[in-house]
Amino acid sequence: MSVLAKESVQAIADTAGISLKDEIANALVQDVEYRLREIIHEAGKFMRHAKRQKLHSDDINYALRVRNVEPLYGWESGKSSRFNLITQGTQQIYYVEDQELDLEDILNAPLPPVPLEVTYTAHWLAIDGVQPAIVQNPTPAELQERKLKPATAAPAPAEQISAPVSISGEAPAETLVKAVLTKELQIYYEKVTEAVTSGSEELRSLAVESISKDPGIQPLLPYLIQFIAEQVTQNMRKLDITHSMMRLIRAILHNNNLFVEPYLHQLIPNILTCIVAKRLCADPATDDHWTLRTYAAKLISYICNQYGATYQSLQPRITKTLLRAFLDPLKPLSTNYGAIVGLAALGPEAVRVLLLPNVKAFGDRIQDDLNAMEDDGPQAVRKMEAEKCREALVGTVADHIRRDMEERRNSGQLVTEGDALLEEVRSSYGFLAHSIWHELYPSANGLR
Amino acid sequence: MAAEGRHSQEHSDRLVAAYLKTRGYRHTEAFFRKEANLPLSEGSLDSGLHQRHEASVPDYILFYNEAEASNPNAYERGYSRLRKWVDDSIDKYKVELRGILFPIFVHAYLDLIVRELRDQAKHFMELFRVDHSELHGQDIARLSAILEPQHVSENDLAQNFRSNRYGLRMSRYSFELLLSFLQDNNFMLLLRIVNEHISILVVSTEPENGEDGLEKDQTIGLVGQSVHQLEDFNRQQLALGTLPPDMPFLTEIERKIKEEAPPDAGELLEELEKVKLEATADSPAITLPAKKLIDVPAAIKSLRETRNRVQLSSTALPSICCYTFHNSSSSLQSLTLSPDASMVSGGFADSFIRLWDITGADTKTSKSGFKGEQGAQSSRRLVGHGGPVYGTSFSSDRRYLVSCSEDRTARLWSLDTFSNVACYKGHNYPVWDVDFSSQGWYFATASHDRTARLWSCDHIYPLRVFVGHLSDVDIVRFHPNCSYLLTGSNDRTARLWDVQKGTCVRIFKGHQGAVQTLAFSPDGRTVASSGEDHNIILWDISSGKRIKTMAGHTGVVHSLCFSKDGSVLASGGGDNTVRIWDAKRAEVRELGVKRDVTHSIAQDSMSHLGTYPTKRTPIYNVQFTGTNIMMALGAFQSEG
Repeated sequence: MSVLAKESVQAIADTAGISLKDEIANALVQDVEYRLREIIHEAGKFMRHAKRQKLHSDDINYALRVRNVEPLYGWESGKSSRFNLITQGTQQIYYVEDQELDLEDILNAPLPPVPLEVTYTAHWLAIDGVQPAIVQNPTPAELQERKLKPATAAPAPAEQISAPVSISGEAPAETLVKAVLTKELQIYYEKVTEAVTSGSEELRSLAVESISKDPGIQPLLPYLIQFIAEQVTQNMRKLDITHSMMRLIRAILHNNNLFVEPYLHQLIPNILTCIVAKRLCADPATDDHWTLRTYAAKLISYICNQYGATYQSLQPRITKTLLRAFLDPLKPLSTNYGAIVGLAALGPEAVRVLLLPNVKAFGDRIQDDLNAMEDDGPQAVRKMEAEKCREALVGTVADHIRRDMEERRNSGQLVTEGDALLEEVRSSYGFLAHSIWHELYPSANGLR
Repeated sequence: MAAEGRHSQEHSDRLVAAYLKTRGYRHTEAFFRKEANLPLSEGSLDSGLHQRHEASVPDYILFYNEAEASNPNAYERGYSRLRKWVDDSIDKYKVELRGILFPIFVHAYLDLIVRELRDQAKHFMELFRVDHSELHGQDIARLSAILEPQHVSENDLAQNFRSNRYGLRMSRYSFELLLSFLQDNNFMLLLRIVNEHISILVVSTEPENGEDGLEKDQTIGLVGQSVHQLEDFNRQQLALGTLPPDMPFLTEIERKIKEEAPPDAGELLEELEKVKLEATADSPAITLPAKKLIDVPAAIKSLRETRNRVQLSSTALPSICCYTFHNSSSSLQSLTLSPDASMVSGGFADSFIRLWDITGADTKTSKSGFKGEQGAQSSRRLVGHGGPVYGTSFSSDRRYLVSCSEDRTARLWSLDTFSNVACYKGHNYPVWDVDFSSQGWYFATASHDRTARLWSCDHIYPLRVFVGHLSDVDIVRFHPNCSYLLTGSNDRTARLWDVQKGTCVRIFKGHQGAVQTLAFSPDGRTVASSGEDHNIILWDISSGKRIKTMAGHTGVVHSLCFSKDGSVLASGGGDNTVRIWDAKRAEVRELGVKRDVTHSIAQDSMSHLGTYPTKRTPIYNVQFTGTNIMMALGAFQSEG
């Protein structure tokens, strides 16, 4: 029951040159513990009245004075004392390091900086019972954080750290991360990051698989996300790296043991980059960056399906970005392609509302590129890109028409077929109508 | 009746004889046996213990079975049997019976310690402490440190248990069940504890139907009063009305308004008429210094504020202005807003008080005499105390400030000259809190020495000393009509004291932790209390009964305040939030509606109107201004 060990009492007695018998030490240890508890209880009152949640050494001194015990005289450093462990044979003794200071040194040391004046700021915590969203009030994200992880020093995203600093103005910038990662986790992190960026396909697959299954890597998550963001921005032209980053994201999303939601807003920009970036490879003519775009598009659609219900604004934001990339005629065709596959991946509704009305205009835009004759130089690359866009668009539209027909058939509605359908396709999709028809009925001999 | 009396008498005679025999007083025994045939004087053992409601255990058990007493495991066996019996009893009585386990546990442990059965005591504590750690965690932690008989006599908590009876409410049937259980099984040790240290108040024949195990309702606990007295105690007549209007002063105000004729003169006069009519039937009689002409402008200002007051209700919530104090590095210990919301005083651990002018007026034109040190924020330092300043309070006319400190003194400061005017010595231990009365002149202090004291500014000795709390008095507040004082203490009670008579007139018992903050409603009929246990309790003063308990805070509650119309209660606490509560709405349970399973949740949500978190600022003080704007004061906590 007693917290103190009799060895502690004996060790202290030793310092005073007294050696204690076991029984005496036992009796003493009980009394000492009782006295200590009483003093601490008393000191707690001083702490409470100072409206603090942390006991200071001052509080102990006040408690001693109240109990009519001589307080501990001495220099208060303001730092909390650290206990060091010493092993003496089988005994383990903790002691506080008591440095001897030279008075000269203290006298000659430069004066500490003058503490800052206590100042106040005023702000509205609530206006007619509604808390306004201003800098001085905590953000919803902070509150969420506080609820989820009370008291633990979580690795906070950058903006949360900067906000309190900005209101106080002079609070020293804290280190971002207080939570200590175990050595094992650190090694794991190093290995994994090394493996996914390595050249060996086998290593990469293993690393990704491990991430998607391991139950104990939640503490690493912020670091992994950070890593992904860095890699994606630094290695925009290195197709293999970005690709393995996307695979890593997929692994993270698929690991049921990970709680990803707080980090989604950091993940999504990376994925979008891999969908609509202007250039994702060293040589656009030969490298296959299309697969990466499709892969990333699938990831985005997965996220939307998974978290769209919880975060209402998620899908609208993503579609807006994609649609802008699709419609802007100044954007390169590679970006357009990404936008097409991205929107297509978001499901039939997105395709019907956003993609279909714009097919005709887009077809007209790429018409010239498609008809270009040169087999060499930048023009050829552009033609190839246009070809890709057409393929993606045609595939999507054809899929949509097929699905539409299927649905109508199932629900017993009138199905447009044959010539009527052809007419419809032609009027809606203009230049691309031919390809779409061909896609729908490969056996048909083009447009009659 | 007579037969029964004779029977119990014979029984005790036999016990006495047995006792004498075991102790070897053979001659005495022989004498006694001879004399026992003669009638003994009736009621010599009945030393007035049987009072009106008290269902006392027959006193013969004072001479408990020696065989049982010498068995060191008797306590453990007895307690564990009792516990099992309570747990196995049907739900209807279980709630009531469970209340008795804690006092028995404590006293059994203390008995073991006193009899120097250290190992048994340790074992006993280890075995059963989990039963009580939820409701009485702090007490258990302190008691478990007691290991020597000497400690028992030194420890104030143990002494509280030893010298006061622990109060419990119980239905008659449950009480009879308990007694017959203890007697049937011959648990004389436990019976003795029940008889000596517990006072059971039999309330009704049927147990209250409480499924949610609200033990706090049954437990009265340690109050330093017999529970039977407590009921009567809380029935004493009180004069809670407002002070009678000071007619000459009001006429003076009227004259002044007419003379100056401000644009809103008509409205002010209308408001003044309301004040004149406000005398209530139960106004107290208390001598206060007469108002002076100098107070007239302030009175007019407050009339104007009353006129412009925002009406608050559960649907119209207040606006909250938060003042955050930076760079205090946890040495700022208290913050107080002046009644006219123009000044803030802060008590520091470094023994000084700092005053800030928060009106934002230009320092040159400011009448308050502040000199701006950096031009930006004007503040003054008041130096004089010799220890941390735990509390400050402004006089209503804002001309004086009174402060209290660890150095055992209270000091009065003039805010005209910013100097120390008087030093009040009287307490022998740190002074925790101070409060100026609403009319000025008088102030009260609360101290670690378990007393609260009443002072008047012109006397350096206390006018009244209020003694009765069993532990530190943590907070003191004046009733709006200045004739009562309310104190909150570490012994988990709040007490109301009559300023005139100097006696305690109400005891409010129900908190599970120290009562650290209190607030009177403006009409003086209701009081809110809160503290360490994070719950806020509203009490009806005249009946001394609890109105409702409001849960929601997740940290210590530092401050409470009613809005000026009394409809809304605000609280601020160590969990960095300000919360708003409905003070008018009755809880379901109090309306007599049957409790349901969702009771505890409903309790949280029903009266709880809003939560307003700050970034990292524990709220030290909340206060409503005259126009019902809420001010929250707190010191920003830097990380680490």
